[in-house]
Amino acid sequence: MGMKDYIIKRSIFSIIAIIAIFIFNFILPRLMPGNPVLFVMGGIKLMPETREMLIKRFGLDKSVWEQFVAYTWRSLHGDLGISFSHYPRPVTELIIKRMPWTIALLLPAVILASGFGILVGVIAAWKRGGKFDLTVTNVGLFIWSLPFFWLALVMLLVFAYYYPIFPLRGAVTRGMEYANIFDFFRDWLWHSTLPILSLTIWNYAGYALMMRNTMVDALHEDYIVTATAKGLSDRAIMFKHAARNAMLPVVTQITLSLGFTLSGSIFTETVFSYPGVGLLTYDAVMARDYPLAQGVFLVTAIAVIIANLIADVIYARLDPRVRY
Amino acid sequence: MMSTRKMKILFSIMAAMFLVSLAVPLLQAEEDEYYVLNIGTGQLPDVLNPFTTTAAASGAVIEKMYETLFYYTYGGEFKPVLAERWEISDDAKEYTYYLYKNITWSDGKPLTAEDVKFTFEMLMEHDLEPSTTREIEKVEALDDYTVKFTTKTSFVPFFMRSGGIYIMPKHIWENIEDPIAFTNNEAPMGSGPFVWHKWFEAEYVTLKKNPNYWRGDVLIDELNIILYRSEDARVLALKSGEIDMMGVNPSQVGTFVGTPDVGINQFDEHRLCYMGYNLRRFPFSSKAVRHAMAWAIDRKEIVDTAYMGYGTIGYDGYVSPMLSYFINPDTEWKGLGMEDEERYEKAREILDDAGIIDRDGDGVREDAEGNKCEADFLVGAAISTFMRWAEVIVDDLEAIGIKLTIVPREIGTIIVDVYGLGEPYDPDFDCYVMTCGYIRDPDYLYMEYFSSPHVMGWNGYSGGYSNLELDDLLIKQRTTGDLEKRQEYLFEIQEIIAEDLPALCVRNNVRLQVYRTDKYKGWVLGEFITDAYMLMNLEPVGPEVIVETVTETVTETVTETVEVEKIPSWVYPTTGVLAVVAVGAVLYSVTRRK
Repeated sequence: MGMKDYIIKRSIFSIIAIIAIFIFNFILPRLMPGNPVLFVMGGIKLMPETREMLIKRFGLDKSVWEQFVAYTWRSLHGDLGISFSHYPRPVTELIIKRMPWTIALLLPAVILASGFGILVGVIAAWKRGGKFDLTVTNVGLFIWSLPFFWLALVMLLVFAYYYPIFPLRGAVTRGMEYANIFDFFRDWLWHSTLPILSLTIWNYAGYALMMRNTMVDALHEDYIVTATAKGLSDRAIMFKHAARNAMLPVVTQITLSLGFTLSGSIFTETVFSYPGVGLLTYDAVMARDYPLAQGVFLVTAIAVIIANLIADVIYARLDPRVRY
Repeated sequence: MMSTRKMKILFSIMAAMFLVSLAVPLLQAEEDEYYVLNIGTGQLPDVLNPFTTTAAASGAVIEKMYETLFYYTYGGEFKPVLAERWEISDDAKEYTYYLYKNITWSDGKPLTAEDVKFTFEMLMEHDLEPSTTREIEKVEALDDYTVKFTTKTSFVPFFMRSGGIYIMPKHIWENIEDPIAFTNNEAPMGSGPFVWHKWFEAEYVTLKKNPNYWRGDVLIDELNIILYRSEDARVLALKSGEIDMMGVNPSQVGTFVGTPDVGINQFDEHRLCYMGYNLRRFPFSSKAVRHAMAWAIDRKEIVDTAYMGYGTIGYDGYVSPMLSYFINPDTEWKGLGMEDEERYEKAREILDDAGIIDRDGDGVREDAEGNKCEADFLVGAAISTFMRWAEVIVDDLEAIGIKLTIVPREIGTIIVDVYGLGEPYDPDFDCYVMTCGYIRDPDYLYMEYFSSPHVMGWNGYSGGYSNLELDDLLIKQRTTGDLEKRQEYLFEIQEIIAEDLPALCVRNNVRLQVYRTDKYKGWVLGEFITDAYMLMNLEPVGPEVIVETVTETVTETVTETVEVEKIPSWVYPTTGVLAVVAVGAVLYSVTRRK
């Protein structure tokens, strides 16, 4: 089986996964207890005419099958429905507006966390048993076991209130007119440092711990002895021989944890009032906004599946064994 | 693995990004004599069509840009807004509003009776605001400043309901094809003290003062409504002076007590906390049990423990202090100020007299047929305040021999059980705690809650309560045009409810707001139903706060609060240098070859 077959096979799996998610996405919110109409108005008691009007407006008077057919047809046309809680704005518009913010938050966080995690893990394994290793392992375990929202809150308290180096909220400064794109970028970066940092720290710990463990295993392999016997430098053995092989499970871990990171973005964005998809998800769930929650889940699930597909391909390039 | 060159580039980019973010202070436009007021919110509105928006937060922006015919104050008065005065015919079928003659829209065009007529006719045509507009037979503009509504039936609640409708400019809305799908967030224009300026999705909304405001000058130049999604962040923002005002929960308000330059205000709200019963089942089918419970349950303790003392004690007449004009003072809770034992004794007496006594000695009372005073008590599990007051109730009732078992459940499932959303209607519950919001008129609270199901074809309270004498009074109060007569009917209604106790009103909700006093004065929160009229009249405390830019406000308040100090200027360059050294070290160690 060549690389091409492998990609085709993985793509078919991904499409099946997307279809399954598409169906689940329709069923799950309908299993939630409670009637959305009651929550839309934020109250328990609705006059019958108001309730009737809302039920009709959102198509909830139709049978489940009719709702499913309509849902499929519209989704294929990129129309994810009208939000309950942002009525009458379309869900697609809301997601498209918020998505870039989240990508801009997650991408640097994942890159920084994996970069530092791998680097620190390699060095810790190399000096295993030493002070550096002990510090990395213990601090890593500590961070990894922290509730994420707590970490974000403490960072907010310390770096935005006691030492107000960074702003308390948001992604941009209120009322600011930007002279050019760099101005905007700078403003965004100032606002995003804390959210990115908290996501990075939290993710970093997992990667560092995992990298350290696989690296320790790799260092016991025969080819390391060979490399040492060849008289290679420590650094060459460390990065070129051991780390490259030890990295494979970590790469898998990074791609698998993309979904996890997305859920982390819900907490981050809520704590830092960052206008991304995470905040949108949180609000949608709190408001029982079926169409919006469905839309967000669908889009993020597809994004994670595609990211995993890409990761699989990269992995296959890194490790030719999986192709066969 | 990445080649060292690529890695080098990557690290350089990151280092550069980091340095830029630290070293460069943000640009701010300098402006003079410009009053800015910032309000923190947990929900930012994004749709400003008052007739279709489903977001509660929208009202906070809409009320500052649009106006109604009149409003009902927290003090219980009707205050004119667009309508200078009004007349209600004796048969409660004709409502005539006389508008002020100098009203203009913020674009300078006059606001006339035509706009009012247009607004209501548009709503009728599209079946919007149905609880108000379905009652209307016709709307007439008698002249430029007089509007007359004729309702289909005698229906006095129409008066207060019509007072809640925002009037829209005809010359703009008549060009809108579908008012239901209209978001009104591009360039909304109204007659209120503030006008639309800027909206940044999920970040902030900026309003500017209406330079043509018909009531006079607006002192505040700019009003920002800023999203802080977590309440903790909002609290910090108010403490640091980043925002001037915010709403707050009872659980958080304690952090502001004693904070310098921060004022706290509480005022009544259209929301009751109540305990609902299923009157079809024993023990709640017994009036004696309900009376005993009203004595035994310590409503004051509930307000004190679950709501940190914020809120007022519920009336037996199931009325909110917000409707002060209609409150019958005789239906106040009689147990107030009594010792626990004293109240329990009253309750035990009532139960003993009714023959509900503990027959088998297990501490729980039974009636003559042996039905035990036991019930499942549905409580919203995720709502900690509900849990706390449910515990107070359980303890108090145990003392008088009624045993409730708390069943913590997701609030959505409680609603399904209590309101029996399926057909046929089949509520399956014993008792529960819940809050009940209502609109301005007491009719809503009583007619739609406690009338017998046959009166309106439905009933908003699912306890299974019915009292024909009450039904009669309920019809009378909504069909009389004489407000004094109506007040009498409503007093009687409250007496009947206090006698029957179909539900127990435990506490009246209050709205809590905190505000900073070091920048503006004139906070009279709670006097108006909207904050707009108070905000437009806020005055700066002293000349030194007149000029505001974002950075200046922060640093100014920062120097005033004790524990926070202004960041010295050397921090930025030092952090920058440290960052360079750190990044350099990493780069060096990564890229060094033998």
